[in-house]
Amino acid sequence: MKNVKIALSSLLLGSLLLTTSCSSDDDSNPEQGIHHDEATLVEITVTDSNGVAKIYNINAEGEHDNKTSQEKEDGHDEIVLSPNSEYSVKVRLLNDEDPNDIEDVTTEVLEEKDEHFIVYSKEESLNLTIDRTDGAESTRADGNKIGFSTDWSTGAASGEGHVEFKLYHQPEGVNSAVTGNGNDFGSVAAGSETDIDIDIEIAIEEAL
Amino acid sequence: MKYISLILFVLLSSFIYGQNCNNIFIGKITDFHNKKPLENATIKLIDTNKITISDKNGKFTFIDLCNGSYKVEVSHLGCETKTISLNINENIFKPISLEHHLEKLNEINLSGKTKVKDVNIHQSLSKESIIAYTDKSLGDALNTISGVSSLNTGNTIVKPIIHGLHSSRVIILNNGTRQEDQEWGVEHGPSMDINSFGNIKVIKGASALRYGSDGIGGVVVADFPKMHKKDTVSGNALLSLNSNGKGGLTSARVNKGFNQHWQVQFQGSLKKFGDFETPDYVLSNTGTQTEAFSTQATYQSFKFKSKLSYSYFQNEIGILRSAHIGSLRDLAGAINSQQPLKIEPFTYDITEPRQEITHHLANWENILRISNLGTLHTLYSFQFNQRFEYDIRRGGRSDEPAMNLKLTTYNFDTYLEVNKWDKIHWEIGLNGQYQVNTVPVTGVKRLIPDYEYWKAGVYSSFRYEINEKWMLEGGFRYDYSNIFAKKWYETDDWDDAGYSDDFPNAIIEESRGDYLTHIKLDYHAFGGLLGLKYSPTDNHEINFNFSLANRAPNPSELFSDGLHHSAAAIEIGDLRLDVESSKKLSINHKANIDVLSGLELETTAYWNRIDNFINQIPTGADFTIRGAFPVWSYLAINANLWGVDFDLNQKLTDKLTWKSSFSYLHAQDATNNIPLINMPSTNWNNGLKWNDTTKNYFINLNTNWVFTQKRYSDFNFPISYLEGGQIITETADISTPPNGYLLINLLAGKQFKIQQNQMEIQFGIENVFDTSYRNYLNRLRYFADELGRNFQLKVIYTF
Repeated sequence: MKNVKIALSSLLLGSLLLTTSCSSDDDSNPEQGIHHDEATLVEITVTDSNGVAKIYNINAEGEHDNKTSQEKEDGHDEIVLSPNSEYSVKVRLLNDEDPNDIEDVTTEVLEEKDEHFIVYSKEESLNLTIDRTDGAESTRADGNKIGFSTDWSTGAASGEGHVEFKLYHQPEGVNSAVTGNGNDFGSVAAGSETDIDIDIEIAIEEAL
Repeated sequence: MKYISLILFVLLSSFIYGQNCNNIFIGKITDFHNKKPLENATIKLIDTNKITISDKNGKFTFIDLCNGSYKVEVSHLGCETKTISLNINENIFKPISLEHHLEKLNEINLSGKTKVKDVNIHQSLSKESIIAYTDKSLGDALNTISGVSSLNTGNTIVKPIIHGLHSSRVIILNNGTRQEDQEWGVEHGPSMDINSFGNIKVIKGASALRYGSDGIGGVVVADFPKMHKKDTVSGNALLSLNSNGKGGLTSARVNKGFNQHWQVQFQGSLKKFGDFETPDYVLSNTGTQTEAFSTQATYQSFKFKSKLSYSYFQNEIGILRSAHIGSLRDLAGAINSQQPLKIEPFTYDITEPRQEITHHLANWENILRISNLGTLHTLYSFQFNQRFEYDIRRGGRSDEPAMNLKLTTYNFDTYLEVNKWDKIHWEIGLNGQYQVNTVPVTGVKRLIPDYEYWKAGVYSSFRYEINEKWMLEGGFRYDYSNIFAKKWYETDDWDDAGYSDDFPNAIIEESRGDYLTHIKLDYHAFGGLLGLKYSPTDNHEINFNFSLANRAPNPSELFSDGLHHSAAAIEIGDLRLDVESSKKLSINHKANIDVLSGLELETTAYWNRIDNFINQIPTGADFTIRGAFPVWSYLAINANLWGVDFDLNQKLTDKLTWKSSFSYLHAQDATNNIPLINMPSTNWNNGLKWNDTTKNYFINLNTNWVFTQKRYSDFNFPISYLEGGQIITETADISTPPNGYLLINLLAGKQFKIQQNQMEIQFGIENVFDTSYRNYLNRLRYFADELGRNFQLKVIYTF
């Protein structure tokens, strides 16, 4: 009989435990949060030799049902450059998840500047050279300029093409030399982690 | 007058007792199935203080017994405790047979009979395996069983796969309670310490209705060791040292019995490894550290048993540094590289990416024996699982978890076993579960949302012994589950998925391009079982089993939404997934054949049709600011799985035994008529064991042969990039399985007696020939080889 009592009281206690535990409040909503880690926007400021600046925003989000990664989203403007001209190009990385409080991710990257490096690659058809002009704030300890500030010089008109912008985190084998027959501005070795990889559409043509 | 007669009675009775208290009761305990003697069975004369243990031949003796009727309780590890009534008026010999309760008809038990029989029963295979895998994981130990393989992330996160099915399709019972530790995640290993268990078994298929209808792959039952019902202190201490990873484990258990009613047990283990090594290089950041502790306290009498237990498990796991990649292009680069792209010198330090998991489990089990009816079991349990995953992050955020999941689960299980009838055993039960998942903001998109999950199940099953040769078993089960989640969706994702039509009132608010949604889903799942066992002779047994099982989709399949760095994959769930339904037919044959010193054969063939099988495959690409990523979606398809497991145990001589096990699985996506992804390939394991029980040593040679998986589907991705001014296109080959491999392991051990205690020293070499290989079922196979040679030394002290 004693045992039955123990069994019954244990049953009771257990169900009590179960019911009290279930009365959590349903009304609280999970916090939305900001995904600080991600840059969501690449802001490219192109200033011509007359000091006229134009800002291009590139967000690289898009979806495709097929697997061809060549078909990237064309949701942003083409950067039109004049032939035989000089431009100063500055890049900022932003997180615009909260439009009222846009975060400048560049600051974070520069705080860890030795862990970052940008590589620009262009299509052969584009008559373009890119020179790194970073100041001390965006120059790595190994002397390589990260590539947030660059000078772009165009040659003859060459129609449309792409420039790949790649920001690497914890890169291996950083080298800012121009390689690939003058098409790759800087390089890293395998094992570098891609933080940003976007295509910038460029056209080098006479302004109408 | 009253007193006088009482005194008279006492005197008289003592006189009678004095006259007739010289009876001797000798008995012999044997295994009901194979008639082999059982050593170390506990035999207790109830209501007396007499208790003894059977010897090597299964024999025991009670002396100085008075005339009268006695109740004898016989118990043995792994056996159903048996109580018999006996009148003793003279010297008596009584053979008693015990039945392994592991061997119910409805459970095709892999750790089972064929393997246990050849070794001394109290050193069952499970115990040997637990020691052999003491510093590895539960999944590694289970991997040795035919039909069971494992899905690995590196070498420390190991999930069991039973007949091709894993994760939430495999129920793991941790000391009686369903382990709830975010088990849906393929890179989430079971948060439990193999050293806390005394018995581990695997049930293939969903035929154990008691545990739930959703374990369509099977059930892993891991129980704490049984405690000795007498005044004694026993236990063991173990030290294991390894050359590979330069680490090991130390573990100890103390089992204190105060008397036949009260017992307590404590167990703890500590494991530490640094970076592991392949034959050619260090696997940087693969160290691991585990602290585990468990305790149980029992009160038991013949009628009532109550057990309180608690276990704590804390595990920190480094994830191979090279497996943290930024984009699909990085993945292709890693695949094309012959070795990991980041190799550092050996270290014990664990840095990001890493996982830190803590699991608490407390449970309270009560068993009440009700005369002329059966036994009533109740179990309450509480579990709390804290999972932190740390990533390589910018802005000093690496110290903050990228994933933070807090999972709290309450369970209440009860069942009544009715054994009042001779031939019919009937069981009826209820299960209830309530679970809350809390996911604080981490600055990284939540892969799994906050949710509350209710589950309730009811089942009934019976076993009918028709006659000596035939046994019938059947049952059904119904489960209801209800999930209530609150989740932020990107508006584009929500709209593109067309959820607005299916969940019109789900949106609570819209903010910064996201919808906050509340989603209520419920599922009904039915399970059923029909089994027939035929034992034409003592040496043959055939089981036919048909099971129907339904599994409700798990939170990951419903809600997943985000980027997984180690897989370079975006994982997307689907709220519209329905219950997965498995119909499985299996036939199992066991035979004992009189060849040489004894041959045991066991064959299991099965066919499993799964409708609505929730399959995660790459379905497209998603462009993010990091470049292209494959999108892995959960799709419902129909699947056919069939296979064969074969086990052989041949005693060549008294000392030499050959063991062999073979598994084949054919898994097909019947909807698209392509092979299913990530299925184990054919494997064949062989072992030769020389065991000299007189000189107390053994030598074990094992080969582990895993064939190349030839059946796979092409989910490769083209990637393109600019280099040297040209658009270069190459393929990220994420599909082709690596080559098969053959591994050889050696193990030798010697036991020494130190007074009443035993010391065993084992020396082993794993991967003797330092073979380089990769494992198709390792998610990190793209990045690195598996482990190279390992020298191992173990000292086990048993007292």
